[in-house]
Amino acid sequence: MRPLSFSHTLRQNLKKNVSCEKSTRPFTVALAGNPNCGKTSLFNAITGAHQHVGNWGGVTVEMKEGSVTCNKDEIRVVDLPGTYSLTAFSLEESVARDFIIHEKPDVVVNVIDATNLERNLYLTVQLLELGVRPLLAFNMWDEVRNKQIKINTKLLSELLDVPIVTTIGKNCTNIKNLLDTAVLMAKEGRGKYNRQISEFPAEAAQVIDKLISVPVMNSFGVPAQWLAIKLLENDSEVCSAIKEAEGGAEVLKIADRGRAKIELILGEDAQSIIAEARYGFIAGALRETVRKPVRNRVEISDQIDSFITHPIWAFPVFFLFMWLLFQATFVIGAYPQGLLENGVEFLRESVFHLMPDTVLRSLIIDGIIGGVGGIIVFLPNILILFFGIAIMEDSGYMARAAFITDKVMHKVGLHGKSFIPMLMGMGCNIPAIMAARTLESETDRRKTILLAPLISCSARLPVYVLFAGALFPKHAGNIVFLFQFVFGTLSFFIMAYIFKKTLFKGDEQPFVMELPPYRLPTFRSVLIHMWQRAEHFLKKISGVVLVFSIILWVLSNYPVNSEIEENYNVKIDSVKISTELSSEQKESKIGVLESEMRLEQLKYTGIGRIGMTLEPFFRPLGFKWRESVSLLTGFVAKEVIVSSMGVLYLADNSELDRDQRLKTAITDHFTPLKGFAFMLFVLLYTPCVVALITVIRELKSVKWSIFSVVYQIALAWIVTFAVYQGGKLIGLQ
Amino acid sequence: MIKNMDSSMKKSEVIDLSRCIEGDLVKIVRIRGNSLIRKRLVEMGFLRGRLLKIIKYAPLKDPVEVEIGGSHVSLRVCEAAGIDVEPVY
Repeated sequence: MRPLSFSHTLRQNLKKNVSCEKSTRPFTVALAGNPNCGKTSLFNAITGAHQHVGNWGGVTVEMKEGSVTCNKDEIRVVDLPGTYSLTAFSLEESVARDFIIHEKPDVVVNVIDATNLERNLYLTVQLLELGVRPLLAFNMWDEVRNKQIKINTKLLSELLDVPIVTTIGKNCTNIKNLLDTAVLMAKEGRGKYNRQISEFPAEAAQVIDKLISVPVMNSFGVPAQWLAIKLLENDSEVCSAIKEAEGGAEVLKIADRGRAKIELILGEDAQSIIAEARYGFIAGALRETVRKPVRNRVEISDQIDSFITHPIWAFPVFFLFMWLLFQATFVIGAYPQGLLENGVEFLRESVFHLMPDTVLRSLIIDGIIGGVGGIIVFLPNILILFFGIAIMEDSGYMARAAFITDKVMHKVGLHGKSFIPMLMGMGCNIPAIMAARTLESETDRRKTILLAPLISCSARLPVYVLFAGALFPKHAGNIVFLFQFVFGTLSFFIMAYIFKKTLFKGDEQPFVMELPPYRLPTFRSVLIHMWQRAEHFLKKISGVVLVFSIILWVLSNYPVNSEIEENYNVKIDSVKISTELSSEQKESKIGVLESEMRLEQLKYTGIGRIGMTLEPFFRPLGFKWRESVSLLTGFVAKEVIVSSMGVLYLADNSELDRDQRLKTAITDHFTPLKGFAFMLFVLLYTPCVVALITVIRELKSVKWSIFSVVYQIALAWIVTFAVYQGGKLIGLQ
Repeated sequence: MIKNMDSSMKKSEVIDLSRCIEGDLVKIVRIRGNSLIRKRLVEMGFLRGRLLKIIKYAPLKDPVEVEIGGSHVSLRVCEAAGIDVEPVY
């Protein structure tokens, strides 16, 4: 009789009694796997809505965590970053590896795309080297059946001595079985994996043996064999850890000599030799267990690709999708946005009527409701954008979009996937910055987040319209177009290029990217993805924004000088009782006095004072205190610049012809050159407070956040200075 | 046909992957390039002796899509230039 497979034995045990015990602490199950192996859909299938983004100190890589109860056992499930390997060359890999080594999960579930066993098992082999006995989830089992691939999982399970469970993540098939097996493995304890795995060529094996024989190699709590392999692979983290240990220098010397010797004799570097041995081991195991049909038909995926990445049609299709995404996000999104705005307005009015006229009411209405309202209006945009992005990612289109745009983006040191954040920035920088999450490598993501705010968002449009209309009436349309679409994009690319040549010099990330077959996204996973982003936005960003809104509200209203109001009230009263003036004259005089009063009050507030203090900073750009104050108020939201200019420049407070009078005031206060410089500054300087907080939250680094603010203000100042002073030099007005 | 003749003349000649054209079937001889890119390639199964098919170039002629071991992978042309291959028929 053939021995039963490991997974079978487990199931047998399970039926007996083991699963009924109640454990005292939750088991930890970590999901490891390649990108595109369906790990996320499996994670969603296991945890459903019970998941959140884990909080891992100092880690910028996102790890999701969820929980599930299986036969009264509490299981904590951690979704590790998708990796092809466990060598610490990228942050994702270090994070996944550190979690397995240090957090010691009870069970590591290695999710495997069963249609592509060879490459997926490469990670498995590395887990085995680490002494971990993983539970293999052969995912996408439906595709295996459709493709008529025959896999003898029982035999494979025996050969590898690891349990295998087949699953279909997208419709939750066999999840219970997977969990039962995981719980059973957890209860049996963390079985060390001791079998001989890959067979290395004699030269490499000798070096490994020699390394293992050094006593210090056994003092790290991980298999010495694994350490030796990592040393040969020149893994930076392992090398530096060993270097610090006693006698480590000697070990490194052996490893260095070993690598050189291997390369000399085998004509390949040690890294490739080890990879070949691993792949050789996998090929051996698969030879006996997998039968693939001879492929004689063109797969559907290839057919779709012949159109989607077609030399001529690729870009029209791409722009169509981008147009749809943009329209859905910002045009369709405007309807729920309007509803939310109405709701906020309703709340504001209710509070206005319900509460007595006190400072508290003003704080609630303008500070809190205004602040919250200013945040939640972005929610529809974020939901729709991430709905679209989730569909593009899950279907496999995102990889193709990166494939066709990468050439352009790579020229300035970015990745093909930076295109979407760039494009979305034209609607609003906030969802754009969040969309940078689609980039896998941290460097690419960081660059994209730093650059996204340079794209001119729609909130800057009112400023351009006002200035272009007032100062360049003949070319207003063209000027607005230049600022809204050309200058922002241009500064994005120029700065990207500058970053590539300076800060991120030599920091080139490999593009090597899998183009997964097209798959139909499931509604469930798209919804979960969308909800996660919304939740992140509300939880992580809105709180800070609210605090800032209140601070800004206080600064723009306080301190109050009651003398100003009293003085003006006296003047206004004297106008009212005057007998010499007609009622019309009275009204206009009162209007002038009221706006004078408001101007005086604004000058007295925190924001007014800061603005006036900052005047020397802006003077070289041709700006006076009024411009300085209005730019400062633009920090709340850039369209606020227009309304604060109303207060700053208009001599009369009435609503009559307000737009026209504001334009006239702009013409009085600004020469065309100064106006142009002002528009440039508005385009380039730090975006609104919500965008800024989003940048800080997404960068997750104090250093880079400070850099982000400083470089944008510096850029705005330098460009504006150059244009203004240069323009004056050549005699422009 | 012309392509085939061209290939047969180049028999056993080692060229870099970026010089191959769509539809070529080649065998990997060696991976050069910086360690980060080479490491990523190696772990995705780009090993010597392996067969590789050039599926297509992107519309702007960079990157290039290749098929290896049943999966499709896209590489920048500069990355492909670090892979030495020889034609196979």
